[in-house]
Amino acid sequence: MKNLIPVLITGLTLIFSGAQAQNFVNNGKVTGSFQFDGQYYMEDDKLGITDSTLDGKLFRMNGFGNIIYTNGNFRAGFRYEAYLPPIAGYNAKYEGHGIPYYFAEYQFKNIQITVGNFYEQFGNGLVLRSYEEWTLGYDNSIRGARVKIQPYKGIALKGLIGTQRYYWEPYANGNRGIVKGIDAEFYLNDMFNGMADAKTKIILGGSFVSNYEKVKDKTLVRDTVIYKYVLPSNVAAYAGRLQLIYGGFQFNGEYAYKINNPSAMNNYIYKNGESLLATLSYSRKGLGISLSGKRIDNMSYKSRSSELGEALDINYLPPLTNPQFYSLATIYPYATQPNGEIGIQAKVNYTIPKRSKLGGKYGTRIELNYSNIFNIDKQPVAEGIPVDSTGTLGYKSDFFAIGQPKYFESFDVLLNKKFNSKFKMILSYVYQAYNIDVIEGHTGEPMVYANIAIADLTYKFTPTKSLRMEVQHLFTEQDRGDWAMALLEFNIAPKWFFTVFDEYNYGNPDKDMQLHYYSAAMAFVQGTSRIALSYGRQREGLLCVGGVCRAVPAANGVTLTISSSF
Amino acid sequence: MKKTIYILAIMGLLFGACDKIEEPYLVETGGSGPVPGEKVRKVLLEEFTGHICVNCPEATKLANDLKQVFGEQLVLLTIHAGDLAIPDDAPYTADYRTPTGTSMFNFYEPAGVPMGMVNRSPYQGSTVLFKDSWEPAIQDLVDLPPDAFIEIETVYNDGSRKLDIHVHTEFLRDLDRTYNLSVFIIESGIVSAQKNDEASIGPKPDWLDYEHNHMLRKSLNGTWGDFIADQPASGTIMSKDYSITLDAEWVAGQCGIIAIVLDSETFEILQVEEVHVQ
Repeated sequence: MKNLIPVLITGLTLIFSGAQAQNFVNNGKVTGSFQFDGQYYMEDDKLGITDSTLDGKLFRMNGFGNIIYTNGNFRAGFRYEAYLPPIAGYNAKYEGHGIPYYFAEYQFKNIQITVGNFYEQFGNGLVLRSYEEWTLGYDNSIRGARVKIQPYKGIALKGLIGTQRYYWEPYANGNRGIVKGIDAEFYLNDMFNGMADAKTKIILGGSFVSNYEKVKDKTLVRDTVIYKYVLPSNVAAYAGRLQLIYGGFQFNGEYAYKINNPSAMNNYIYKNGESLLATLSYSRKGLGISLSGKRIDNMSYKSRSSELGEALDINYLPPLTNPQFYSLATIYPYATQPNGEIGIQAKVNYTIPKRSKLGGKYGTRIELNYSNIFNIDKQPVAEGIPVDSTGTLGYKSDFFAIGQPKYFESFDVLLNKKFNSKFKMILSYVYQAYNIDVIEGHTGEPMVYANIAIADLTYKFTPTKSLRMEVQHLFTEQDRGDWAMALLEFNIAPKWFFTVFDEYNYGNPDKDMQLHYYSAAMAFVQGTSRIALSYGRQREGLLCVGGVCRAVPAANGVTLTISSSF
Repeated sequence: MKKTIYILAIMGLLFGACDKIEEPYLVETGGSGPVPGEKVRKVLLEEFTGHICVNCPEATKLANDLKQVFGEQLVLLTIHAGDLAIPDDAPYTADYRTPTGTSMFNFYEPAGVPMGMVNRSPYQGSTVLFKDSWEPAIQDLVDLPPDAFIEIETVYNDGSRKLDIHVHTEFLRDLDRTYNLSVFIIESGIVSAQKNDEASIGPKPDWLDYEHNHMLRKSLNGTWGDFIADQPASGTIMSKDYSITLDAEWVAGQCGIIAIVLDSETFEILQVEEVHVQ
């Protein structure tokens, strides 16, 4: 930052000093967004929240402000962030405030150059994805330089180099790796005139990524003998992908390979990593079907080999599970297991046509999803060497064999029906089998089998006033037992929202923990600004977005959220 | 198209970095230690742990392995604190928590246990570290020239169980901050149940005869110690005396004393020393 500010000031002074200044101001456009999330915490003996655990940090806040300036082919911007201190459940390393993200970008004909911070994804992200997810407190933006070129019609090339964000810690003295990557994408129908009108569209892509890390000595004591690991300074990964489109059919497949990457995540084994992701889908009006398969084998790829936390991921491993929105269905979310998983997902979305017997006046939407995920098969590399032994190849694995244990299984069905202009209903049933031992690290705890029933009813009194009611129930004999939930939401569109709800863990085997997690909230919306205030209890659990999760601690208090954009 | 191929080839050359490691992945290395009597920097590894923490035995084994690697230059301290150290149903009824340990736990807010601190110094942006960062963090510090040297003298009366401790701190260069001295009593060889998830190192899930070592028992001068020097010049020697009657349940022969010189404001540790009570 110290170096950036004089450069920006000098640059802006030069720009504003001449006739160009008028153009720079007049032709420019500034956009931005802002969010403030503040929580005031209260003691709650039943949740185990005491004066001691709060430790004086009664008020916590996360906030950001984005400012982006655009002028023709030029863009520049920054994001200010503050965590004073971070909201409970966010990494304490975020405490502080400053500008972690700034960039300048220029597009000249078919070349785009970005310096500073940027987000990027190659293909499905199996070898590189940098992104930001505010609700998770996740940000692995790359600071460096990126060039995008379209040298020929139908060809898109990208190249980048930089270091990843690690909370507020600046890059220095090799404290994390330097990530370099290239990606090429070929739209064959655009490249070759003969294929321009072909019904089949073909897109090919390939990526190569390398991470250079200044490795330090790492030792191992085995039978009183001290050994040193031979560690790689450069770890590379590459991937190839294919997308085929024919009418309503589409195939999307990507295979990624990573060379030996001994790290804290894989217990310092030397096996190569690989990953395959394939999806076949079909869609037409009112119908969507997709079938996906995925295999991940030792594919954690971070820009620091000793990193165990959620930061510094170079790649992203998408989940094959259905995202859940109803609260009791989010109690057991799946977190991708980068050290190995194999699974399938099948999804069908169908709208029963309007004016048919079953579709009624407005049509009826049905959504089905099935996911099933297991460990990959892992066999010892040699007799007497346990699977995953550090300082070895780790294990052998048959590519198509399904291992044990099961990690996750779910079956969801959702019915969305509008009866008339005043009343609509969503009914849903979710079955989940959840390996709480592996996913949450609750060692020795049995698999959780949960059945969840959901009803979501909305009644419109007038075009602007409506009442929404949710009733949910989760049945399980494991973990914290049964839950019931009810919600009432009164909307005065488009400005006011009032909500009360209660999640009741009445089936908890520990009678003292048969608690109500009640909450009341109101929100006011004006234009692009929203202010929401709530009071209540928050249950402990995992919050996951796209298979990436963070632990959310139990809390009791008042939450204020203000967001705006311009 | 040729242009594209050239661009890709140049990019490939620029980025084509990849180290393929062939067996053996581990090479034997000899340990080396300081010359006896040499004034060297010693490093403190403070491990937050708990008896119902299933991953803690593996972390403690790593700490013991590191002790073998770094020898006398590494001092271990185990702090039972947090939810996983709370007494539970039998056989986990023991309470090894201490006010000092809990105070440190609340101050440093580890994301969980096992986690540890190496001289309470930040390593790659964090002060509380997962176990895989312990060794590189120690490496960063252990070869630095020492700022201070600590000598501990003890007089223990077996009958009264009274222990007198004299700590002499010599500053070895001019320093520009203020410094405290902390003195802890530790105990090893305590056998009681410990949860465990790693079958290769001991019984799981309940390791009933687990040996707890280097356990923080008590601080003789609060969580952050006593003030001893403000901007000390090289050669300054400060002495402090402490007395304690050992708790009846502690085994004197298994107890030790750890003395720490630390920055009064950042609590980062300059030097540490350890001796046995007997």
